[in-house]
Amino acid sequence: MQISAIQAILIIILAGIRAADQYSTQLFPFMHAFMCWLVGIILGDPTTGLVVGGTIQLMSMGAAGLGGSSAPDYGMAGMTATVLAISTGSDDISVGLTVGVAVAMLYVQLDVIFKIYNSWVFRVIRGFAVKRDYNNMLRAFFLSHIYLFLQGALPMAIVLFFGQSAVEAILAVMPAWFTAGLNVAAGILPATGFAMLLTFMPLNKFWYYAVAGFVLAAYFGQGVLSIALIGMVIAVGYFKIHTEGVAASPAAAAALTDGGELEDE
Amino acid sequence: MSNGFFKPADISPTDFKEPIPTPLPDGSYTPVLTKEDLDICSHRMWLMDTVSYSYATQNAPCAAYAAFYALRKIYGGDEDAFNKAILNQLDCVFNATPPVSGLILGAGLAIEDTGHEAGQQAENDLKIGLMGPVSGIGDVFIWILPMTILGSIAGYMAMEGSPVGILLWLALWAVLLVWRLQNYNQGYNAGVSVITSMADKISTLTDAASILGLTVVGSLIYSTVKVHTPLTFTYGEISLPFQEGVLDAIFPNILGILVTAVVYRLIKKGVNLSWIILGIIVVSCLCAAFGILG
Repeated sequence: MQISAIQAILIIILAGIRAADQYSTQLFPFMHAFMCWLVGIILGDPTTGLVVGGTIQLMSMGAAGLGGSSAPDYGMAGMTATVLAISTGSDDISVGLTVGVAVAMLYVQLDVIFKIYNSWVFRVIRGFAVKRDYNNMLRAFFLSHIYLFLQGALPMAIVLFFGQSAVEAILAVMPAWFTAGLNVAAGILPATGFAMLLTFMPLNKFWYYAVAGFVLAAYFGQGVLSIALIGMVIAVGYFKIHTEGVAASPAAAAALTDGGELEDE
Repeated sequence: MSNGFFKPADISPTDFKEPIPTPLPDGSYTPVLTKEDLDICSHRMWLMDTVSYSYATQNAPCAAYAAFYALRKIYGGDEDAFNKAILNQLDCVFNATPPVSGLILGAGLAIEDTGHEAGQQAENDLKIGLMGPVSGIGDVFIWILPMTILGSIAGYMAMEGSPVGILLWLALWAVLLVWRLQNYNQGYNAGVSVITSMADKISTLTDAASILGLTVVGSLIYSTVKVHTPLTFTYGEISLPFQEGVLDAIFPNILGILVTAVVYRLIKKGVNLSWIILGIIVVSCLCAAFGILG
């Protein structure tokens, strides 16, 4: 389908706001599925937006760039993938998804450049502070917001103007094994999100709860909401047993805690 | 959004005519910050979050921006002391999970409110000492668990074409937003000892939440990692599809678990995520070309 000027402008603004929001106001941080859904709504195909966004969301779990580390920008990936999937009009979302992931990986580098740019912004801010020019000092903070807006909006403009024809050109010359391969990859890539997430979680201590979740889904056919609720029941039980033990006998609790720490090592 | 949301209308940075505060006999000062002042700090921190993160002093400029009007009020007409306080904020390395930063920074402002310049060293020590432990909690409760539970529910339901999970995530995130827009108050009122002990006591809660997270992740590895092989063994007239006949009989979606385990090992070994993703795409293409996967 052809993207109209208004649709393009709305998506560019959305991409800019998302990029700035990720670092500053954090109203929708890492809600890639939500952003893709909005892009889908703008382009008149919310369902494709949801499907692409859901896939990107699961891939991205664990890649939050915690503690100032740089992570692939899956939000940009999702929006790019949604735009390409809808505009090329193919039922197959894997090509858009792969281009999106490539964009996300380029963004790791842009993130480093942003932090270097911020070192310059810091010198500007500090310079005004030393000169006691507080009005300009407070204004200089927004150099970072502006940069982030452009970092989101400009690449999205390029995607909107050239992405569709580029992807169609790729599709025209692409051998069948490559499209088939991308389809296989789209199924496997959520594993990276889960694996990344598991590295942040106490898997060695509590791996058997992951097994429980797996069994509930695989053998009992439960949906994710029902499994989350069962997990909540187990979690509340665990919390009650441990905290009530603490209240009953401080000495025993101290012994328990010591034991727990030893197990960790 | 009016200006009053980010700063009180009665304090302007340029025309500030207040008396220079005088110390009490014991060298401390009468605290001047009110609940409204601390709310303003929270609003200003929300506007910044980690936007100024740099390799210089990490997130310190955001803390300085948030504290600007509070410091104005603390130091009154004492321009020299105010300038020193702002530079102190800019130069003290700080980096914590943004939504809970207010707890540490609020407790720090409580010290500066009574101690003025004499309290700045203690404030800096507090910030540097607590940013690690509080972020440890914050990262788990603000990022990892919501992303695991709400993010995966939202992602999974979205893949099925339903926005319900996304709306649920937005609603719960809004609750956190409302809380964080005043959280300097909790830090300021709780003081140093409570914030420090909170960091110790919360480990049981973290464990309980991890149990919930792992249960959900376990189920999602089954339902969302999709690896399928079309290989079929043929013995004369009998043909046996490898996936349905052999692998699924051993363990449902055993290939998905294996792939996740391999990626987990690689990440643990420190392999860059970009290389892993690229590797998956290359291997997928090769396997698809030879009909091993499809």
